[in-house]
This record gives sequence, structure tokens and C-alpha cells, in this order.
Amino acid sequence: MNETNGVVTAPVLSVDGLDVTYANGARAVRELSLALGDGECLALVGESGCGKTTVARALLGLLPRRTRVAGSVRIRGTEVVGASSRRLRRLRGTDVAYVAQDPYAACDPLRTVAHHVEEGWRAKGQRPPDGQVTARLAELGIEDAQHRSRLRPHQWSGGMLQRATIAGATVHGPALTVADEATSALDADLSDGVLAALRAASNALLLVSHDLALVAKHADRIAVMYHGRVVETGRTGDVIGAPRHPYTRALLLAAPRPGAGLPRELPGTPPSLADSLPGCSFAPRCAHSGDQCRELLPLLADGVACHAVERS
Amino acid sequence: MTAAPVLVARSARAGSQPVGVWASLLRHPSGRAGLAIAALLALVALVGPWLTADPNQTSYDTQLAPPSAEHLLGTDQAGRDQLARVVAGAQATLGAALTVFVLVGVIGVVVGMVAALAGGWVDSVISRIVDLLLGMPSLVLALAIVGTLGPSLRNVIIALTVSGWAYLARLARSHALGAHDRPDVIAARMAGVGRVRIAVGHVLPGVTVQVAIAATMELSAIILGLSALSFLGLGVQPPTAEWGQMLAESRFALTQMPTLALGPGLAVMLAVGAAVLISEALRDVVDPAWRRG
Amino acid sequence: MSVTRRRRRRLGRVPRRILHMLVTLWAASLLVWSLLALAPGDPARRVLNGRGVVDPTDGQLAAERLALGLDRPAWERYLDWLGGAARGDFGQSWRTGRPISDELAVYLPATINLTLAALVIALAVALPLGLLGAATAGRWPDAVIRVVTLVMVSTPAFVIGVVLLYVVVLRWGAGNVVADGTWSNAWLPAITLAAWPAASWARILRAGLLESMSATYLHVSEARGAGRLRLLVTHALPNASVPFLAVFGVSVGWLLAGAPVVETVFTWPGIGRYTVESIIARDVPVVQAFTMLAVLLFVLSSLAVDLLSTTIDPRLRERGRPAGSMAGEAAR
Repeated sequence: MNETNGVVTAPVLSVDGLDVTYANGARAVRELSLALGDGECLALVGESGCGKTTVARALLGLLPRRTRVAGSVRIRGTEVVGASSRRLRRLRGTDVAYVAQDPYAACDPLRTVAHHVEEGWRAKGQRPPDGQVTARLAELGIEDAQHRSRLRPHQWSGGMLQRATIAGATVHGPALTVADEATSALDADLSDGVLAALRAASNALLLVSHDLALVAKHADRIAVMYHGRVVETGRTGDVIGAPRHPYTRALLLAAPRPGAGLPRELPGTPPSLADSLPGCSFAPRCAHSGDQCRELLPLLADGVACHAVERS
Repeated sequence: MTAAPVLVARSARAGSQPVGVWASLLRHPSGRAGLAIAALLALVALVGPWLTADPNQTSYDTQLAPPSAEHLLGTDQAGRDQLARVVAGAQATLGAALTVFVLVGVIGVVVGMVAALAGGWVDSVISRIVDLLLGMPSLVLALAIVGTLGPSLRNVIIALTVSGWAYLARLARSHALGAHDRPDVIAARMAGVGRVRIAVGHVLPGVTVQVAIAATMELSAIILGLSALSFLGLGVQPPTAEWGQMLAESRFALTQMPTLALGPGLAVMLAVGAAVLISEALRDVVDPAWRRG
Repeated sequence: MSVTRRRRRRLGRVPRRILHMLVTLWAASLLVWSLLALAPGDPARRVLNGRGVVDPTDGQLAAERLALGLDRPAWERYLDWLGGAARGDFGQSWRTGRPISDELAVYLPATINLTLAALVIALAVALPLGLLGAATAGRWPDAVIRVVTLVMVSTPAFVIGVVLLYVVVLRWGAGNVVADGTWSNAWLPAITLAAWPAASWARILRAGLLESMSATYLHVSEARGAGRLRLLVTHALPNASVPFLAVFGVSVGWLLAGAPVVETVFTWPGIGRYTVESIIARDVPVVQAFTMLAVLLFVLSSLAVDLLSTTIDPRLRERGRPAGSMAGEAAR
């Protein structure tokens, strides 16, 4: 709890023991806890299929029907898990915003870009204030927004269109913005600009990404996910500079970095989310695993969940 | 109904995509149902005539007899055994439908490949003809052709073929043109393989698969068109049995013997239904975008 | 791309499409006319046969040849015919010797009544079924609708017609066996004619809606707080309408081709049955007239659908062809 001017305010986001199981039996998120304060940027990093997208969708209450969700997700103190659809609708757009991966898929091809920005208001039954659409687009670095916003998404470039979807998502200045791989559909050289624009347009920001090197430049803190669980979390400099979990180290080695030689690919494949292993999920791929790792689940302690780290 | 899967399976073995359409069709629930009905109808058409009475044996003692142990579906106005006629009709209807199916498929592949390979004015002329045929309602065109050539089963087959090949030729042409940039085709070209050999060895199998799939999806329309024209008296001529034409005849005995319409009516529905089920399954198997829901 | 340039291009599009339509009509006329030339046998003999002269004398044949203008070159006869056709004059019926345009004027109203009624019924059935099917996808109402529409697309119009004739007219005593072509009698044949398009439209609408309802932009809209109604009305329906429209336009051709069958079943006094009778009597000019009329209506409806879908989806303007992957299926 932060204390400002003597008033106790809830953190922007607090996730406690979140557990998500899909109708097909895949347990995509397991006992996950996160917290995010005002103005903070947390990167949720992991390979595809580690459950990070499920976390993003759970925060918005956008999971498919017949998905079992346990635990708690609070946004500014409001519980999302089990909330009524009316309450969720009120929350979306005003308290929590969402930015999707591919801007072209995120836009209705039949509607103009201006329509998509206006939708931020219209979805809540409001009229967009005069001039606000152009102003929001200009703030995000789009030139000639007045005229260009009347074009359709397919006439825009990917980087610009992603800025426009960010503008549409954040019209109400939401407390939390959830961005799911917001730059992975774009050319690499555009990513930094779009992420910087995203950071500037958001209050608290949850960056979901597979690209550790990219988010390291923008996030304050990093949480590394593997098989539905957070295995390591800490300040960006600490996690990147001195990774402790073998999986985090492997992820860093797998990313190309200047002066670090050829990237080394992580051997093996992650276990299926439908399976449950008794011990550490990473043990089968881990060079440091012992008997304990295969039998007992390591708990997150001091920012890392690993028996090998505990032993040393 | 067996022609398409054979084509698919053979080309799949030749290493062209899509591999295993045939197998996935068997795994798909509506594909399995459609194939089962198709197999049943094929069996009836092939074996049935040996087990039933002579479909053209008239008997004026047993006109419009109700269903009985001797005549399971009763007899028609001329005292012919209705079951035997439904079975004989399977051969006429399905045989004609398969003929049209094979003809439009072959013409589609050949014309489309020629247009794609020849290019230039040949391609332009073919494409204009295809555009024209696709710009006309195909059943109306078929009706016009039968109308000029005169009613007969042969002319119905000609009419449905003329009005049906254009769509497949366009498909074959675009697939053949698309294959131009495929890695294996480029590799063959760079290795000095001749144009015709590339066309036959690398392009033709894939195009054939695509056209066979598309033609199978058209099969229900072919059967519907065929039986509709026969119903109008423009196709099979008496006394040969055909479902559409039998139904047309049963109309005139509807007050006395309504069960007469049962056999041919259900038979057409089964045949069309099987084709629709198979084409639904094919769409799911070939185009995963439609798999949802 | 400047806004003014786009506007000028949109203006140019309609004339271009109309020109395209005229070219198609002209090519169709060439095809339809040459059918006559390709028809087997001596036309003069067939005309006389059509009038009931079973064994014409040489003198009669020569006179008829002259009357048909068979001594003139083919292109001259074609241009004559085309000029007449453009004014709605398709010559005389071989069978009755009366002008075909007069006969069409007698039969056309009944067919217009029938197809309009069928169109209304098909839409009234297809829209709710498609919407309900998509809304309850995977649950029992959807399963029931899928089975019912599958049976409907698998049932030829003449089977439905015969069943309705037996059950409704003969057993229940409603309607008439011999219809007179008026609105009050139109419902039975209209239901018969509407069954296939209703079912196929419902299936395509359902598939299109499911496709657009699972699109990312719908999730994004939902994540901005949009309600179900807004998602459906502003995004899902417009996107589903593009493939639906493509199939709808083609279905007009199906209604035209279905008219002969349905009119024959119900002895409906329309141009469909008139055409079938003419085909059996080998009255080729009537067949030509019906074909040209059907092509004209088909081309007009394609034009309308084309302009409408490019207005809804401007991407089609650049690609040129409607996008719906299912368009091909119902097209045939």
C-alpha cells in the first residue's frame, strides 16, 4: 500500500495466487503473484506457451467461457476474478487498457483509423471530445494526423498503426496498460520508438514479451515466466546483470548481444501446459538439476524459485 | 464419388501438397458420414441391380401397388417395381454426375494449365471466356444449352460440363501461376529442366489436387442440377429410371400412391447430402480458417 | 494518396463497372445467339415442326428459310437479332407464331411475384437462423440449425415441392393444386423456392459471423469496454456482410434457375414453366429470350452487390475481387 498525502491508495495492480485452467485442461497460469505501482513498468518475459498471454487476458477478464480462474487480480483495489460482466466493462478502457500484438489484426479493416481511436470513447457510450482524436495521435508522434486518421488501417504503416491503437487504448488515461507482444509484429528498428511511445502514454505498464533484450531497455522490473509460474523476478539491472535462475541465464544466452559471441539456443522444449510435474518444471532442461529439483517444487524466495540457487 | 479421393491420394504420394487430405477427411466427423453414405450409394449402384427385379418390366396387373413384401416400395403407374427403379436410378444419376465431375475437372485442369503456361493472347482469350461464363448464372446456361440441343441425358451432361468448367479453370490457372515462384519449381528451372517437364512433374500434381478438391465441393451442385433437369423432363428419357424423372412421374399419382415419391426423393437427398457433408469436411481440412465453431 | 484523388477514382469506378456489365451482356448475347446456329437440324424444318407441320413440303421449307432470313450472312442476322433483343424484341415463338415479348409480358408478372416472395421468405429465415447459430455456436440451438440447414441444402426444390403439394394441399386442403400466379397463391411455391437460398445464406452468415467474432479487433474492442451489441453491430455484422453479399448476388441467379423447377411443380403460370414447355417443344427463340433475361437480371444484381461490397470494404477496390472464401461454393 502506498501512502500519498495521508490517504492509503491501493497499488495499481496486485495479482495474488492467480491460477488459470482452460476448458481443455491446460493449466496456463499457476499460483502467480505480481504487483505493480503507479508509473512502473514490469516486463513479463518467457517463451511462447509459458502462459504470459493468459496472464494478460486474465487481467482484463477476457478469458474464454468455461475457463477456471482462481486467486485474485485487483486493479486499483477492484477485484477482476469473478467480477460481473457489467463491472468488467466499466473497468476496461478506463482502469485497464490493452494493446495487441499485430496492429493490423487489432483494427477492423472496414473502419478508419480515426474510428478506432474514437472507439475508446464510444465503447463507453461517450462522444469523443472535439479535436481529441487528432491531438492524441499527434502526442504519439503521428504527423498530419487530421488527414491520415481518415484512411483505413491497411493504408497505414505497422509502426504508425500500432501508435494509433495505443492512442485508442489509452484515451481515458487508464491506471494500467497491458501490452501483449506490442512490437513483435513490427520491424525491429521500429520497436524502441513504439515502446517508448507506449511507456509515455501509460501510467503503470505491463509489457508481455518473449524478447528479454528489448524489454530490458524499457522496463523497471522483470518477471521471468516458465510453465505458468514466475521463476525469477527483480529489478531489470539485477536480472539482466546477474541472472540467478538457470532459465533466465539460458534466455539471456539465447538472445543475440553485441560482443557475446553467437547466441546459444536453449536445448529441449518446454513441457505442455496440460502436464504437471511434481518438482521444478525446468528440471528436465536444466544442467544444474538434482534429485530435489525433480521431486519438490521450488518456491519463489528472494526473487527466484530454484533449488540450485538455495543450495549455493 | 471415389474419383476425387483417388486423385488426392495419388498426388499426395507424389510429394505435392496438401499431404493427407484423404486421411484427414476420414478423421473428420462429417467427412466420415459423407463418405459412408457415398460408399453405400456406390454399393447400391454397383451391386443393387443384381438383387432387384427388372426396373423396366411393366405389369398391368400391379399398377400403383402399395409397398409389400414383393414390392418393397410399391409399383409405379406402369406396374414397375419402384425399388428396382430407385436402384437403377442410382446408376443413371450417380454415373452422369461422376461423368460431369470428371469432365469439368479434366477440362478445368487442362485449360487452366494451358492458359498459365502459354500466357500472352492465349491466356487473355481463355480468361475472357472464363469471365463470361462466370458472369452468367450456370444453371440458366445449362438450361439454355439443353434447350437448344434438345432433351437427353447426353445433352444434360454436355450442358452441365459447359457451364461448370470455367470456375475450375480459373482456379487451376491461378494455382499454376502461383507455382511459378515455388522453391522446387525455381530449383528445377535453375537445374535446366524443360518447361513442359516442370509443368507435368512439379506443377500439374498440385493443380490437380486443388481442382479435385474444388470439383468435389461442386459435386452437390452437379447432382442437384442433373436431377432438376431430369425432373423437368429434359434429361434421361423414359423408360430409363432416374431419380429426378421418377419423382416427376410420381407427382401424377400423388393422390393414389404418395409413397411412390419416397424412394427417389430420399435417394436424391442422400446423394446430395453426402456430397455436401464431404465438401464441408474438405473445407475444414483444406482451409483451417473455417474450422472454428 | 490524396483525398481528392481517391474521390475521383471512386467516381470512375461505377462507369467502369457498368461498361464491364455491358461487355458481359454482349458476350452472352453472342453465346446465346450462336447456340441457335449450333443447334442440330434444319432451322426451317424445326420451325415448321414447332408449328405442328410434321412433314413439311420443300416449298414450305424454302418459304420458311426466306422468312427466317437464312440466305443472309450470319453476322447480319446476329446484328438484327441483337438490335431487336436490345429493344426487348426476341422475334416470334416458333410454336405459337406470336411475338415472344407479348408472351413474356403475360408470364413475367407471376414469376416476379414468386421470386420476390421467395426472396423475402429466404431473408426472413436466413437472417435469424444465421444470427442465432453464430450466437449459440457449439451449443444445441446451433447444432439443430446446422442439421436443419444441411437437410435443406441437400433437398432439391422439386422434392420439397412434391412434399408440400402432398402434405399441405392434398392432406390439409390448403392452397391450390393449380395456381393462378397471384400473391395469395404464391406462398407454397415461394417457400419451395426459398428453402435452398435460405439455408445456404444462413450457413454463410453463421460462418462469416463466427469468423469476424473471433477476430482480434473484436477482442481489442471488448478490451476497451465495448458491449456485446456494439461489437455485433459495428464490427461483426459489417465484416460478415461482405462474404454474405457476394453469395447473395449469386443466389439471384439460383432463384432465376430455380423458377422453372418450382413453377413446373406447382403449375405456376410464369416464364419458368413457359420456358420448360418451350424447351420440350424445341422453341429456341423463347429459350434465348429467357436466357438473356436471366443473364441481364444476374448481371444487374452482381453489379449492385459489387458496388455495395466495395462501399463496405474499400480494400476490395484495390484487389478487385470480392474476398469471401465461400463465395465460390454457392456461386455454382
